[in-house]
Formats: sequence, C-alpha cells, structure tokens
Amino acid sequence: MENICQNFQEQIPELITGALSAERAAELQQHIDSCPACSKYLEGLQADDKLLGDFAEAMQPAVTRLENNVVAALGRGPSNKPVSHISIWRTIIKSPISKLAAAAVLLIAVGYIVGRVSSPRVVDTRQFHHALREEWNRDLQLALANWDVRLRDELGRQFREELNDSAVQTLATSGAMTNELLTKLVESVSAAQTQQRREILAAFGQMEFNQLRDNSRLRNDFARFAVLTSDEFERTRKDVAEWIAYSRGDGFIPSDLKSLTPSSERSKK
Amino acid sequence: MNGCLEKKLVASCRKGDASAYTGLVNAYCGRVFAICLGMLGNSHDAEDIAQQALLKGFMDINQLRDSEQFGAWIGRISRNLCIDFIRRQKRKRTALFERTALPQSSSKEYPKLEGALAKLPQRYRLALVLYYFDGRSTKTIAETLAISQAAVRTRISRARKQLRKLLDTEGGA
Repeated sequence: MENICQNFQEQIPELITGALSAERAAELQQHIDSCPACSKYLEGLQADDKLLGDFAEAMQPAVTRLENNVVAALGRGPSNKPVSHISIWRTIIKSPISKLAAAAVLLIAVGYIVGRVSSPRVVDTRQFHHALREEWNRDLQLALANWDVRLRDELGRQFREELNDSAVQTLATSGAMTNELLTKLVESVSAAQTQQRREILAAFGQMEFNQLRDNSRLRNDFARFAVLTSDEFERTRKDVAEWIAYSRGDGFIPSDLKSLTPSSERSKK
Repeated sequence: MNGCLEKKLVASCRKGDASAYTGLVNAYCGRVFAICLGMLGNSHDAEDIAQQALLKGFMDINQLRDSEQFGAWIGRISRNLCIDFIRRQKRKRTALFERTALPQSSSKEYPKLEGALAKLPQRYRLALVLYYFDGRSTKTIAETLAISQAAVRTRISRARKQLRKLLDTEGGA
C-alpha cells in the first residue's frame, strides 16, 4: 500500500503543474479521493501553490521599484545612450570588400610566416661555440653524474659487504660464547645433582642410625617399664594379701597370693 | 508582448530613444526579476542584478540581432550577470544561499518559504520562480530557458516535491 501511495505521490506534483494526461489525472484523483495520506499530501502541495502565488504577489512592490529605478536611470542623461560600435563592426564584417581585404591580409601573413620558417639560416660561430660549450657542459655534467652514481653504488656495495662480514663474525662469536655457557651450565647442573645425591644418601644413613638408636631406646624403656609395672603389681598383690589376712583375723593368706617373686629376680629374668 | 510592437520599440531604442525602452522594461521587468531571483535565491541581490541587466540591455541593444527576441536576449543577459555575481561571491567565500532572512520588507512575510527556496537546486528554483512570477506559462519558461516544455514541467514538479519536503522539515511557511 505504501509503495502504491509512493508511486501516486510521485505524480501529484505533476497533477498540480498540469503535466499529466486527462486519463492519468482522473486515475490519480480517484486514488487521492480514497487515500487519506495522498489526500493530505495533495493538500500540502496545494497550500505550497497558494503560498508561492502569494509570495509572487508580495514581491510585486520590488518589481515595481525595480522598474522605477531603471526608468529613472534611463532618464538621467545622454551618457546612457546605446553603444553602437558593435553595429559598425558588424557592418564592416558583413561587407564583401572587407572580407576580401581580410583574406588578402591573411594570405600575406601566412606567406611571410612560411618564408621565415623555411628559409636557410646563416651559421653564427658565436652561437655555435656557445651551443658547443653547452653541449660539453651537458656531457661533463652527465659524466659527473654517472661517476657519482657509480661511486655511490661502489660505496654502497662495500658497506653492505662489511656489514655482512661483521654480522657473520658477531654471530659466530655469539654462538661460541653460547656453547661455552651451555657446557658450564650442564656441568654445574651435573655437580649439583651429584652433591644432592650424596646428601640424600647421608640423610638416609642418618635416618637408619636414628632408627636403630630409637629402637634400642624404646626396647630399654619397655623393659624398664615392664619391671616397674611388675614391682608395682607385686606390691599391690602383697597389700591385698595383707589386707585379706587382716580382715579374716587368722593370718590366712590365699595360696595364689603367696608365690611372690622378688623384683630383683624378675629383673634378672 | 506583441512581436511587431516589440520590434518597433527595439528599433526606437537603437536610435537612443530611452522612452521606448521604458515599454520594454515594463513588459519584461517581472521576468528579469524572476530569473535573477531564481538564479540567486535572494530577492535583495535579485533586485540589484535585475536592474543591472535591464540597464545593460539598453546599453547593448545594438547587439540584439533579432528584434523580436528581446525577451530571450534580456533573459540571457540576466542569467550571465547572475553567474558573474555568483562567481564573485564564491571568490569572496560568501555563503550565498545560506541567507534566510532578507533585508527587504516583503521577505519578512515569507522567511521560511524564501529559506526553503534558497535550498532548492538552482535549475529547479529558477523554473519554479519563473512559473509563479511570469504568468504560469511553461511555454514562456521553455523559451526563456531554451529547454523543452516537458523539461520545464519536470523541473517544476521536482521543485514542488523538494519544496514540500523542505517546508515539512521546517514546519511550514
């Protein structure tokens, strides 16, 4: 719908200008009657039409003022008379005699120019020498320029070669130094590894020694603990036997509490 | 204007009769002003250049070959003077068409319209202004601008379209 309206709206200005055929104008008008957007667009253009007409009307005083100014300027004096030299010139040009005269002058001029151009020239020695000197100067300048170019090329080539040699030498030196440094690095790493290995072995030996010592200490402590525990047990047993004898009042001691082994003997065991 | 009368007036002008030229000024003053307004887009400059064109027309009347073609001839003079003026203004780096408010009292009534007209391309503005200032005849405009009537109608229609858009943008005249 929008595209259709756009197509119609393209033609609405032409409708106002009167540039459309009657058939096309009727078709367009029919669409406008049924389309609010196109109808609004037409109203806008009609308003512009009226506005432009009013503007033209409003500018009439300026046109009148212009006319008055021109008329006043025309009436100011004889200096404003039309210039007639163009007319005289045109009359001269149109005359057959003047045309013939112009043709003759043209022929003479052409003949003179052709004669000047084609006539042989006298050799001027000073001019010749001058030209020769100029030629030598040019050759000399050319030779100097060539020599300059060659010299620059040669210097450039030598510079490049020296630069290459220097680069190669620098690279070789740098490579040797790098190798030496790498060897030292490998050696130091190897020494460090050996030292580390030694230290680890020593640590293992120390650990083993410590273990044996700890075992021995532990064993002794257990033995001492067992003796002490046994003494204490015997003492407790004795106390129990005494307490039983005391509580019965007859000095009876159960047999299983009698066989007491002295601690010194147990220690020996 | 009647071709025969125009021819007589031109003949009198050639003899230096300024009063005869007044008749020609009266007949073509509006068209010359419209051409200048259409070319320059500014009524103040248009008035100045139109005056120069009409006076130059009288001074150079002997250069007019066909006495019945005064209208087309004075139109060409006006356009050439406008072109010269625009070139001079460009050299002075003056923004010619950026003026919206003009010193003339008439422009105060239509500042938006004049602003929008000034923004139109010159060939469209010229056709549109001539249409409204010179009797709404596409035939006369075609003769003045030396183009076909169809081309005149196309230019006017495009000018209307662009003017509508400009006035819409600026919120009406």
